[in-house]
Amino acid sequence: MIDRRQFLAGTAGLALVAGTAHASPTTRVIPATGEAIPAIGLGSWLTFNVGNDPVLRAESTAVMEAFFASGGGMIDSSPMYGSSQSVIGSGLETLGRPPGLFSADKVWTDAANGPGQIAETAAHWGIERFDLLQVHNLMDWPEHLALLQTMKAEGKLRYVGITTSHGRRHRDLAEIMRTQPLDFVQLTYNAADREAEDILLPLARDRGIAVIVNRPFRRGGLTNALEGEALPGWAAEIEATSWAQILLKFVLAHPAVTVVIPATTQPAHMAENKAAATGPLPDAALTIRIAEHVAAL
Amino acid sequence: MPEWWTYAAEDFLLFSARAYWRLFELHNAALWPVQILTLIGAVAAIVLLRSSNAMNRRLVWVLIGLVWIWVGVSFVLGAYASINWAATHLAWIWIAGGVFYIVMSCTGPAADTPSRLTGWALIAYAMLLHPFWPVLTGRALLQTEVVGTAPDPTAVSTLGLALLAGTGWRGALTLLPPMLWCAVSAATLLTLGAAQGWAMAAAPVIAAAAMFGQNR
Repeated sequence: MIDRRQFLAGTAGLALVAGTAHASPTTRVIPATGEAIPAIGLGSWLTFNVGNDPVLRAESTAVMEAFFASGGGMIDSSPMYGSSQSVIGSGLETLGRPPGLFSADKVWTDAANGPGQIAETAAHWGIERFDLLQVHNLMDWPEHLALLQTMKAEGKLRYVGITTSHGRRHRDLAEIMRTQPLDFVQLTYNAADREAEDILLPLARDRGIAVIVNRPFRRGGLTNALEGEALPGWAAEIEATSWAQILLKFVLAHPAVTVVIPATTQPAHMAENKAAATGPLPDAALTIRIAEHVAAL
Repeated sequence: MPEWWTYAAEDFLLFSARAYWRLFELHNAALWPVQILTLIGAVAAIVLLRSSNAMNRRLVWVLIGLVWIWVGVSFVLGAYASINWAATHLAWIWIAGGVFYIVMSCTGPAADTPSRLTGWALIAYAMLLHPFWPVLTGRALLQTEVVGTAPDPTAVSTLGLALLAGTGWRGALTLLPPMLWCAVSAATLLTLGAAQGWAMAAAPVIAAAAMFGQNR
């Protein structure tokens, strides 16, 4: 949970950089409230689904420890992600519930089971109130959005969002963004999958909706394809020391993006991901260059 | 599911290869030395199946049925479901399959014309070769999969036993549960990039070819 001091620091940062969406080099502002949030979050798809394995659970906790050591921020999960929710919950418990958590999860069930699933999700995390709950992949979205808005009105939830991934159902998502009061939208955007640039990202900016970007590495496909390839000279211009950082900086360079949520199993990669938010971001010409480089893979 | 054509096999995979293989390592550690007992049981099943006593041959299917229920409950539900929520549904292949084998043991003749060569080959693979996939692929031997405790070799050995037991409609029905599991497992393993997925894909095809070749 972001505490009051961090919130005020964020809004102060916002005042200083009025006219931009960046509160500080490593944070972004949530348009709905002006609250600052670290631009690099932590996804849990695949990586945190380790069941009851004590060794792999300890590794997940080490990733979370590195995450909080680098400023924390949004951790995102879903009931769809197997044991990820309980792994996050036990990791938080082991780490003594560190400050700086922005808890984000989803509802992914039919309309009638929404309240029960949300209660179960909260129990897995060991928290009473989520910062953000999202309707996963637009599933039964009219009913779930109504439920989440009611929870928000009752003070049981801070933000409401909706998600898609893999570039699916963008037309439906755009319509929902135009007609529903949303705080967050989550979508896939990376140097290879740029469809969101056409409608969704500009629309989010126009409507004041924060954007969470998933699959920044295309489930490791991009980083694997670039593995072993020497960094180009222009990487130094944006102070990137790895291809992962270049790919994250590409995403963060879009002004509509609020948080990007890469997933990892390695604490060292977590610190490297976090560092992508520091230093300059690519300008328009360089983002095109990065996209062209990735397209040529 | 909207836009179903945009989904790839990997989109349905909820876990990493590492988390999957570690399940076997933990399962083996928790059960040891049960693996030795199940291997002995598998040998006993083969001996009983070759017996001229019809009751002995029926007893084999009772044992196989119990093993199927055990694997379904202990591994598929007890371990696999911890990383794959779909495993709670997949476990029914094992539990229903186990019940089917027990019920089948009580009905009709226990055997007719056997398809020996293919049956023996599948059993030999399941018992003697499949456990060594970790070594062949650079993983720890502790992650080995043994007949009677892990689903894949149990399913392949059941295909082999079914071929040894007989053909006809009974034989064809006995192939169904392991064929179903082999299909699920092959899809999972090949999506994980594991070469042994090809063996799981080939086993039911070979068994079906042998079974229906005999029936012709």
